[in-house]
Amino acid sequence: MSNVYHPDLAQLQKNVCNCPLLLSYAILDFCSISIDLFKRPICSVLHWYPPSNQTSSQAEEALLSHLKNIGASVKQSQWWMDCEQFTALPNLSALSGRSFQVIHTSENESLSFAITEQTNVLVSERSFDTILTKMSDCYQPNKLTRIEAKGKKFEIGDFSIKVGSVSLGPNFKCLVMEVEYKPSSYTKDTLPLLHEFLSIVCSNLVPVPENLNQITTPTNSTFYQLSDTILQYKRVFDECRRVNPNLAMN
Amino acid sequence: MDNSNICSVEKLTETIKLVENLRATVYVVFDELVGGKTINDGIKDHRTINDKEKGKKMVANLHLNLQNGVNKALNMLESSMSSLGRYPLSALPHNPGFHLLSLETTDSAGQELYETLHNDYMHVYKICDNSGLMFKSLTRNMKIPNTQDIEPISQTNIYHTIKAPRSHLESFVANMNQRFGSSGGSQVLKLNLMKTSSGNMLKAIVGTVLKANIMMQGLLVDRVVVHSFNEETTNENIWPPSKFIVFNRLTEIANSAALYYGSSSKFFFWLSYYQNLYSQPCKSCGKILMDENNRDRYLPPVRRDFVHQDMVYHLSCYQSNDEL
Repeated sequence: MSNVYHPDLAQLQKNVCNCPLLLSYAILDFCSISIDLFKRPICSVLHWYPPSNQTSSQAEEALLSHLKNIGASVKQSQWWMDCEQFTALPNLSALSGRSFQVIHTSENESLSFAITEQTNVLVSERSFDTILTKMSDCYQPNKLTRIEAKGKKFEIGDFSIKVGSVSLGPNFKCLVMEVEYKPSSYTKDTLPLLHEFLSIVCSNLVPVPENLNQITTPTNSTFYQLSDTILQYKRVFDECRRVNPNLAMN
Repeated sequence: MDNSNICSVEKLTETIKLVENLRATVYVVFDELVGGKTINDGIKDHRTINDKEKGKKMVANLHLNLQNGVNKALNMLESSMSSLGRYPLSALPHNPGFHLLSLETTDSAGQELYETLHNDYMHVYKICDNSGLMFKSLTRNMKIPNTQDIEPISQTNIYHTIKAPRSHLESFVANMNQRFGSSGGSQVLKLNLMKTSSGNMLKAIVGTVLKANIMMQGLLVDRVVVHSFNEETTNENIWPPSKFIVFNRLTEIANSAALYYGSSSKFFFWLSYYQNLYSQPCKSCGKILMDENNRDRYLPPVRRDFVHQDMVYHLSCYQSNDEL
């Protein structure tokens, strides 16, 4: 991970840990610069809700058996992801209404991803979290909106697939599937291939979007980046927070 | 066997006898010639007018022999052959020699001769086949002047040599980069020349799809390993196979392409067609991914035809196409 940009955290902590307000501005400044420079395998994140006559585990099981039928092999390890929302304390008028989300994932355990509402992603080392604890005077995590996703990993040919369920606190929200084509990270030309594979994998169990243009940001459409995956998950999590929790209860 | 066949067999034996006759007359001519020579050799130091007369006599004899003996026998043979007519081709198994010999199968000596000759013919056919193959593969590596069967030596064919110095390779790389760079837009194929412990190596990058490590023998492609655009290979160890199935398949195909194309420039031209590996559907089944349960399941069409490079196929579609 030598390519990861990470601020000189020790120096930063030393200088600003006694001034939480300054620190919070520093974080937001970092968030406004997208520093993710990786070329990553192209990947699409889909989410869906179980049909009304099925529970979430039945819907998940239906997809898993379909995956086995088309030749996918299960990998031993599982995957997980969590997303915490940090909001500014109401007594700080300078930061009123500001918030950002922090995502951790089993696939990149040494990294933390912070996303502002402007959809800029800051990729930093995990020690970024120690800064967050220093910021408790101005930004605090919202325990009620903590989202978790976890599930199984599969492999099929050059593709890798992750299937899991998303829950907000104790409540099940939706099912999520990530399909990654490992050989390519060039977005423009690989989209037709990925779309064709999605229609094979999803069958009629998961709705497939008409096109996959939304998997990257328009400003960065040449190479797929790690931040693009994080942003796709963020959109799913945002929808989960908006959706009526009674819509699809387990 | 009907009458016409018996008739033609009789005529054939007659013709064979006439051939023997012709051979006998020719033998007489040569025999006298050789005899005349020895006489001349023996008396060359004592040339007299007599000797000259002897020489004249010998020439006259030669004329006589040729006209009366050889010409007559030849005319008879020709007339007999014209009456024989054209022998039906379908009756000849491989060579007329076989059939004529098989007429004498009752004779045990003839039988032995037949078998020996048969084996000889087979051997000659085999040698012809093998020499054809050898000629093909040798002409790829060597320039053979004044041979019509190989393509004319053009500007690009100066690269057809296995022992070219490195400077030739450098100019070849510059030439290729210029050719692919000037086609407009982004460069489809980019070549980099590197020096490794085992010789000269080219690193080829095709669009944003693949990287190929190509070991060169002079100006010929010796060995190819194809990797994904994202995979990193070190200069010390360039031969580990790709982590991905699709590029391992492509490595196999690229090595057979290197054997197929004699010239390196044609090989790189073919390789450049892989820029649309992920987006071009198979010409046979119309899909990008192979969906049937076989060896190529979930692979894009990895095969580019060697002759028509824009014809792209899945490996299994290409093979089934070939059978049709």
